[in-house]
Amino acid sequence: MEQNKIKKVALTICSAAVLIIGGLTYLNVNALFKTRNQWILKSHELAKVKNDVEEIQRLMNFYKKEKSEFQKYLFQEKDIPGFLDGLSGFAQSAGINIIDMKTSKFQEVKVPEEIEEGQSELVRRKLNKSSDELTKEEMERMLTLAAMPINIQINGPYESIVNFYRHLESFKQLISIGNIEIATANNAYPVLQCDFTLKIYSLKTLEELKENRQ
Amino acid sequence: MQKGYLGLEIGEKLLRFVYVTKQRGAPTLTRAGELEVNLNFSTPGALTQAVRMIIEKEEILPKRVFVAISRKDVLIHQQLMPKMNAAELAEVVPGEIEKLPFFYNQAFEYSYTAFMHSKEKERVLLVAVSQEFLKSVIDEIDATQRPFRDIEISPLNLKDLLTKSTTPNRCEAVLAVQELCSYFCIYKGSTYMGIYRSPIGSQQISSPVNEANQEIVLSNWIGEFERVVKAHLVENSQLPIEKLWIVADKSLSFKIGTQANKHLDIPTEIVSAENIPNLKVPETVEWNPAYVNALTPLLFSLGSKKPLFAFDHFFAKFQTQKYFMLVMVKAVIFLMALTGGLGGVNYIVKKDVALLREETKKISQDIVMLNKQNENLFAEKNAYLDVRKKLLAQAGYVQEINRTSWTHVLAAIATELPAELSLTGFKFSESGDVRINGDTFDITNIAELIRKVDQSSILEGGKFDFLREKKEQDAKLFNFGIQANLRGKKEEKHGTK
Repeated sequence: MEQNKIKKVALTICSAAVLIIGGLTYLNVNALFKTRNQWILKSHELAKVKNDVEEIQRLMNFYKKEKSEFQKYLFQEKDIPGFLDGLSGFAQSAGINIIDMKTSKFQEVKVPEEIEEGQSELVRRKLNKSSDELTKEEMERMLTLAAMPINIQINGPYESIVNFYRHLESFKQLISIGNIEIATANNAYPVLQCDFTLKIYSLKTLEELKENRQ
Repeated sequence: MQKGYLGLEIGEKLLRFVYVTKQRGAPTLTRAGELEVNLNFSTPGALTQAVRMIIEKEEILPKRVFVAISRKDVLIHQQLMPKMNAAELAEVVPGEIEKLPFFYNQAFEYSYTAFMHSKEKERVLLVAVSQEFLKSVIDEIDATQRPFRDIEISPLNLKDLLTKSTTPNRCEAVLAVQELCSYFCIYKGSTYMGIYRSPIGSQQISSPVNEANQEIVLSNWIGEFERVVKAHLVENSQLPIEKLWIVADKSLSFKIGTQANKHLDIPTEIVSAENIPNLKVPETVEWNPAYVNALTPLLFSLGSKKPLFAFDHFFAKFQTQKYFMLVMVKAVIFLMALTGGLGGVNYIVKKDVALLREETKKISQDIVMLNKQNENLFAEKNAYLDVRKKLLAQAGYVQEINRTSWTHVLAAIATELPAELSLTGFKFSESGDVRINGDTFDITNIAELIRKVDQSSILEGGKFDFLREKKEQDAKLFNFGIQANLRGKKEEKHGTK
């Protein structure tokens, strides 16, 4: 009887010890699993950040290449005098007199709202921020397509005018012609007088355009 | 040798043993003997050594050991006490033992049984033994590593072994002679009617050098019991002692029996093997009446009969202490193993947790640092993506403006408009509005022009704007204006897709 009691007490003590130490072990092992999961999550996050950085660097290289590719179809500031000289030279050889050629400063190409509708509201808001809202760094970083309008007044026979336009349209660089007005020139038919606006395009930062305006 | 049961009688200097095996279901005494040993327990291990020697010498395989103690330092005492309940008796008995000059300043274990004496009183038989002695006996027998859990104090249960079922209510007596003392026990059935101790034992009886002296000693000694018997008869005149059993060493039993017959006037019988129920003693074993002491606990354990005095609790207390120690040691070993094992696991786990936390912290710092280092890169990327979208929109818009080939428009005007008209001016705005001015002599040509405009591959929506009439060399000349749109431009202007 006594021995049974002793046995029971010893078993109770041992069971309690097993429960306490087992419980502590369970808590510790549980903490280990939780910490391990956190470690795995953080490791994955680090790997993702590294991967993102590599991906962005790769994309940036691609973007730079894309930008230089895009710039081939645009005018550089230094190309403009040569282009205008070339234009005068061609006019002479094609029987066109350039009466007047007036260049303006580069201006940002404003996209009508209906075309902009395709872009997300966030991007539109960001891109159409006024220059006052942007920091200098943002202004220096923000590139935009700018157009330099050149108002040209020429005269010459109808075919020559058409050839002159064909010559302009054959340029690799992006240009646009608008506001064409052709009229007879004081009974000098077949010589016609033609006014039009030629726009040449270039990539400019908002900061450059701001300076242009000033 | 067949496995069996070893019974030991611990005397003053003699260790008697009996070895009983079961043959055809009946207990059979296969070995018996005695050994002279120093049993004062001043030399630890002497009893263990003696038991081992017996086992080895006799080539026996005891599966259980039984011990009977026959010593003068064991107190067996009878006392008349007023009747009381069990709880009161349990309280009184230890005090009564302490009053006796037996265990002075010594702890003791005890047992007692009360028998009815009269209406007011009862006869209480007390048995006590020194705790130290009992512990020594138990420890030494335990050291033989044989199962052991039965102790007997001789000659208290002898009467139950000798009482025959045919004569259960006969008044009998047992004269048990030990080495340094002897007991004269009178009983009727299961009730003790008196127990008397004499300080004369086999050693005193054997010591006289000649027969004559021995006879005098014997005579005086038996004379003591003669007085006891007379006192019994005075008290219980209706219960004469009908038989006296002699339990003594073989060398003295006959002489004792003769003297008892002579002085006590009671039929005397020396305990023989036949007197012990169910026990077989082969001829090969030399019988000694003193073996009955060692046989008593063994035969009670093998049989169904329970002894009057059970000494299990003597044994149980020490066994319990031992068991407690054993369990404690086992529990401590278990707890140490558990603490060591799981403690080790916990230590490793904690270390791992700390390491992982440190690594996680470092990774978090790396992430923050990497994000900070590449902050410009991320901003550049986002800005570039925004700019790219804007540039694509702008380029798309310019492309849209340029969709009109002016060469084509001018060529079409030259070929598709009526030859009868003199056109004086065209105006094409970027928004696609076209204004045509001209002169004609025939007004119907203007209608024709409007019709042609609508049929043209580049113009549409022709409508009349103005008409002025003027004289030109006596003829009417009509100066007119027509408005139209470049094909496709009007729809774009109105947002049609």
